[in-house]
Amino acid sequence: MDMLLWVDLTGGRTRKTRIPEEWKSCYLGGRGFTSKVLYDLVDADTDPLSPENILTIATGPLDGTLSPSSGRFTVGCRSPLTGLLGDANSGGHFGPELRFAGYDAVIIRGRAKGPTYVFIDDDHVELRDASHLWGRGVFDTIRLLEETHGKDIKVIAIGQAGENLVPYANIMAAGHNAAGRTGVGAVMGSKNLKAIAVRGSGDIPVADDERFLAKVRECHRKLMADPTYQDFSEYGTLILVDIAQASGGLSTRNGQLGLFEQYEKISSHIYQDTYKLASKACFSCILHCKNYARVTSPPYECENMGPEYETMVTLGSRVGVGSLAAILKANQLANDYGLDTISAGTSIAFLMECSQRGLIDEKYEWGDAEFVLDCLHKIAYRDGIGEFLARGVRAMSAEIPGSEGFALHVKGLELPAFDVRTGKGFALGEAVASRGGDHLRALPNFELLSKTREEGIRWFGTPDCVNPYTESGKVGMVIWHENYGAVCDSAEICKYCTFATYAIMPQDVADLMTFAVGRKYSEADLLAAGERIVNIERMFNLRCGMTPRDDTLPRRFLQEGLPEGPAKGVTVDLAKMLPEYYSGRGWTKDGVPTREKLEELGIEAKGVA
Amino acid sequence: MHADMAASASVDVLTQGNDRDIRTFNPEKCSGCRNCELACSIAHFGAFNPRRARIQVLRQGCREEIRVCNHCEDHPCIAACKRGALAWDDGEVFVDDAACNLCGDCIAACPSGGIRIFDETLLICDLCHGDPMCVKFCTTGALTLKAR
Repeated sequence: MDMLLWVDLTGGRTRKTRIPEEWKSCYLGGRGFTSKVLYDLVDADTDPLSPENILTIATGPLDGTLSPSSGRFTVGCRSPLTGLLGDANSGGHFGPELRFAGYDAVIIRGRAKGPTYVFIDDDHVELRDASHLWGRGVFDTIRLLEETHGKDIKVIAIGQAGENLVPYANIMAAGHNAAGRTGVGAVMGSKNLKAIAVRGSGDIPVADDERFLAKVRECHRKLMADPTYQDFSEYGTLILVDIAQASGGLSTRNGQLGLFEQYEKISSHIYQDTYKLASKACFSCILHCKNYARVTSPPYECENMGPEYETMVTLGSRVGVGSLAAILKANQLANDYGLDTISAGTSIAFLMECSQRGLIDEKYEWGDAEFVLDCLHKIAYRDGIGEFLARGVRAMSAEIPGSEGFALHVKGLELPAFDVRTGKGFALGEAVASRGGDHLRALPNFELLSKTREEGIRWFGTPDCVNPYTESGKVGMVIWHENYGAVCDSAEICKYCTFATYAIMPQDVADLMTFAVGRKYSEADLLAAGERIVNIERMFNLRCGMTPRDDTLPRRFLQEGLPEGPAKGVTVDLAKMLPEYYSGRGWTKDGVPTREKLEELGIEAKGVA
Repeated sequence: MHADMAASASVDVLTQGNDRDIRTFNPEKCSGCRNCELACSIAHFGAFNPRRARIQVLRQGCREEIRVCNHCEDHPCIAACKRGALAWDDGEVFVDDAACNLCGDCIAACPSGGIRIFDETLLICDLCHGDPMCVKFCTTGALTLKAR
């Protein structure tokens, strides 16, 4: 434990160092580490796909323990899609295995001469030839690595999309858990790194067994007593498809509509009754929100872990597809090629809307499932229309005059499923998120969960924060969520335990970490670390050329009201929230962290003019 | 299924077992979270390490398979041991580590694949002498205790 593994692919060397104390106390782990590495070691001139870019894989201090849903890991690098901070977070079983092998993080630099994979067997670390794996999909790659090294290894790998440097390629863990955003898979591909296979057989002791286990039990009880637990453990994130339709924000036809006319065919209940076979869990998770599914009828036969809410929308209603079987097949293809389903689906949806509006000559029809499946293949191989789609929405839009208003991205990252017109806290969160168009930095579900006005006052000092359709009263709530979210991503505890249920609060995480690590963490320590992480990410982005003008949303959400449903006519007025957000963060009116704020947080100012 | 789970959470006395109880496993309810392995290893070795766990859950497609001592009535592992290192003791297989030479004869004899060697230690479930930690930390209801 507590070791950093440095891999220099250019020189073919590896070395091990201890994790610096400052990292553990000030940045906790996971995303805190990956962002700290970017802030300290990656400069503004670094081309994301060059050997100089650094790919960091980091676990959290609770990985490998019984702490609920704490087996996640974060991959960070400069993003080839946005040019800014890139990171992606995944569940599964890889993070714990890396820690059982003795490493809290792996930092990868350089570029191998030919296809390579890293094999980690506890202390033994080896760079091996991956020629026989190059060109293969994720499933095949994992199968072959298991044949070589045994079934008990855990693997992260890229598919053809990462090899072909698709800027929204992801890194897959176990074939169905995706480190799925900002193109981390392309950076791995640019390094000629196909996979990392790990076997870890070491112990992870905790400082105080008895109190740690009692705290775990308490967290389990709180989670299972939460009203949201029932739905999430039964239907997983797919319950959000139903919630989105009910609130008028089920992103349909690239967000032109918020009600999907074929919703009944993709609802979570239909899925439950047709293709879903079982609920599955990531390591140490009692929520088990993942689902396993099988389609037996042609032409979409497939069997594996099924889609999450994001994929059900971005490869479903957003492209007008109402065939569950086709969406399941698309999900499986995207996982095998190693493609971010949000970015891929949204790029296809963008193309379809360009066609609908006559901005391009080609005819592409909403709901054409065959076309969507074909696009995924072509994107992964950058073939034909796939070459264009593989650039992502921002770059595509730059070539199609008149398309900017419905290019669904922020800072170059395609927007997730949630329609921000139906949640103004989410709107602010996605406008300012440090990795671009992302809902998970803030994830202020508090405004969506039918909390009472009294709860709003008690939690965030205002009753307005529980009304999703108003801008008022959102800033304090969003900042708290962002700070605690950074804590969750750094402790590597799943946000569905912390923001979907609000069962596990900062004090709980502080207790779990204190009893696990033997270093006293208070709630205030954790939230300060969260704020510190948000601030170094902001500083990194400013260094990379981001300006506060980029803290915005597509014109569609700012000016076009939804035509029907509960959110009919609602648009987002960011000007009502951004100035208050900047000042609430202790930033200048231009959205730049002040020297005083950086000093308060112990961040050395660098790289900013 | 989920009503059961919530009920077991609120009651929280699920695992008050005794030495006549046996553990049952329902693969339909197992989510593959591995909490049983983690609970086992911390209980017996004071650290988290699934490879030290006497209970193992292996995912095969969508189904979880369990590898653990079933405490069978005829306990063929004991008969297979030439060194007398194993004994039946009030519902569990007792291992005399000093007498065991890790020959693996018991592993070959076990019908459930429930015995393993890791780090030069023979691993056989002892049901935590009646109050098994694996069951205590199983929130899905896949592992339960019932009277023999």
